[in-house]
Amino acid sequence: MIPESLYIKSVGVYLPDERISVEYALESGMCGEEFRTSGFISVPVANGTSPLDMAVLAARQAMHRLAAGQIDIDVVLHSSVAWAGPEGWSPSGYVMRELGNKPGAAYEVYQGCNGILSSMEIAAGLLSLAPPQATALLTTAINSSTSSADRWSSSGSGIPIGDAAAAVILGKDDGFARIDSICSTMISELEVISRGEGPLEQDTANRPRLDMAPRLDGSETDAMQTSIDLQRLFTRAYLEAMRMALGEAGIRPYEVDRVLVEHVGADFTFMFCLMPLRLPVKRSTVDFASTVGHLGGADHIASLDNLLTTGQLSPGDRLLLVGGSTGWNAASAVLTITDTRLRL
Amino acid sequence: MRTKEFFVKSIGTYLPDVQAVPSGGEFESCAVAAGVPAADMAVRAAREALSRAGTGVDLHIHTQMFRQGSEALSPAGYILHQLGISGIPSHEIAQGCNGILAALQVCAGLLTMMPAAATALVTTSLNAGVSYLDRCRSAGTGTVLGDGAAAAVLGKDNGIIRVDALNSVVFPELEALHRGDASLLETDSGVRESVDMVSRSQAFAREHGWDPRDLLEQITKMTAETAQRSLDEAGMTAGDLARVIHPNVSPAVMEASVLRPLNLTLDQSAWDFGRTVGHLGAADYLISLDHLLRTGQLSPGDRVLLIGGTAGFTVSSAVLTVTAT
Repeated sequence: MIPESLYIKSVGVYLPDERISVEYALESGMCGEEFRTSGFISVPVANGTSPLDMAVLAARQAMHRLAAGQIDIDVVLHSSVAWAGPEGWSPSGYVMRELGNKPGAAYEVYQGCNGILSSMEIAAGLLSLAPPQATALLTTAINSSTSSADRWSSSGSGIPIGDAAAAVILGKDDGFARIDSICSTMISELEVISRGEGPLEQDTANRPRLDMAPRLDGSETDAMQTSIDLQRLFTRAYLEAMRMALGEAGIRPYEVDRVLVEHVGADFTFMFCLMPLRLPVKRSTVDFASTVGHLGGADHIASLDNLLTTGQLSPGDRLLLVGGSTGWNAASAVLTITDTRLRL
Repeated sequence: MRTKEFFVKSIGTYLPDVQAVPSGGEFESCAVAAGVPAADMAVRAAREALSRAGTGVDLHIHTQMFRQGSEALSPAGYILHQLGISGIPSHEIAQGCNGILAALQVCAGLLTMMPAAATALVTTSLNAGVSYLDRCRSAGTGTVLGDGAAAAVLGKDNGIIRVDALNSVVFPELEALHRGDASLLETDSGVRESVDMVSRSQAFAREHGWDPRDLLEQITKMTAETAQRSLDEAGMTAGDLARVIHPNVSPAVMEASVLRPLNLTLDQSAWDFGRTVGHLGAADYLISLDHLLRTGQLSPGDRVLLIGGTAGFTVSSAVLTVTAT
């Protein structure tokens, strides 16, 4: 999708100060041996802060960074990963109430770790029908100390979950980054990969835990053949999303200054995103990612925030955002940095 | 929001046989799907909508009142796979039982960035026959949950219904009405407790000192405001409406919050039908609309208001014009 005029006005991130090092987790038997070669160093831990309260902290920071200070938001989109609060309740309504916002419109988005990219695409559409000064707030949060997630196993082998929240404020008039394109595709042949085989409805006494890498019944399939087919489908998913985003933004891969991939480790980042674009690892944010882990839907914004706050971005820089999540959903966006004078 | 050219091209439904509800109050019966998972119900409704529209789709939005299935299930991806569709944008959104109105809004927006012939599929489903839902308590006092699914194909060129205006307003001061008085972390026991909106709303009223009459008055005010917004954008008044479709909840709530303030009568609603199938989550609006169209209760030119309140506290409204039957 090519938004007519869409900007990121501000971003906010909540990363708890407390960290667990992967080395300590290995020594104390909290995680498996696969983490020894994962490249991840540490993850932030939120303990007793609920995911929604984390999202509110990130949203407050995003508000604070606006030159105009706190503004009223017209549309809130909250994307949850794993447990977020009681079923049948509205997390986005909670964010709005905590911010003291005037009545607006609120939507929940469920797209796993692509929640923020999905929200960005949806917001592009909603804002296209709204007045020129309309704004949208996107929030997401994950706390793997909660009952439905496991820090060391929920997101797959060797990918630790760090606790974090992120917020993005979008507007149509101006901002520090222009959204040139925002695209996604659902490669539905891969749907079973994260669900696992078995009944659709798991009506258990306990809430099911998030498990992105369930065991698939390989009894009737050749394991290696399956693995090759999967890799081909995953590569196609990421490539398709990136090709759409780059094509709609009208740029070539070598014109991309930084690639922001979800924090799934250097190997996957290289294999699925950098190698197909023939871009070097130094254009990615894997160094930062290794210190915080996979932050659910907050990865892209946490990486963007890190580049901004460490002075690594200049006006004119082109950024490619790309991520994959259950479905199998692949999403990608191209941004152009227009102004780095954000109140940080 | 005022929509640009935006049409419903077809509706598909999956409505299982009804069973009597002995303690259902004003509800006579409700639809019961037995062992069909919610996502499979949505697939059946989508097949019907796609076959009636006779087109492919370029965009998909799925919505559910309660998230059903494993934590890593993508119902949107599952539904597309069952339909043999892949490689299009597909998102899951939620806005309680107004989810399908939210899905219409999202499609109205996204379609503006797509070619003129682009089409979208929206799906929704509910199977309330699971241990964590209680047909008589999970949607509040006096409402009986039934099982059902609905789908629609949307487009910009033409259709059977034109969507003139769509609005959603969240009134944050009533956010905890669907949460109760528990703190967020207290609700994270790991146990999948039954969703009890009757107790949660009572706890909310107690905690925040709301008199039930004041609460209803507040909800009435919010509903009237959101209905008026869509009527204004469609350039009409409540008197021009042929029908009003509200989610299938207790008629007392419907009358107090929508019908009386707009000077409409219960026989202009779809309650006669709704009381036989129950509250089908976000599927009510489309299933009632399909019922009215199929039973000859709507004619070309008729204006219809869709309106209801849900968790958030969000009120959503839509004004439609029947263009063909």
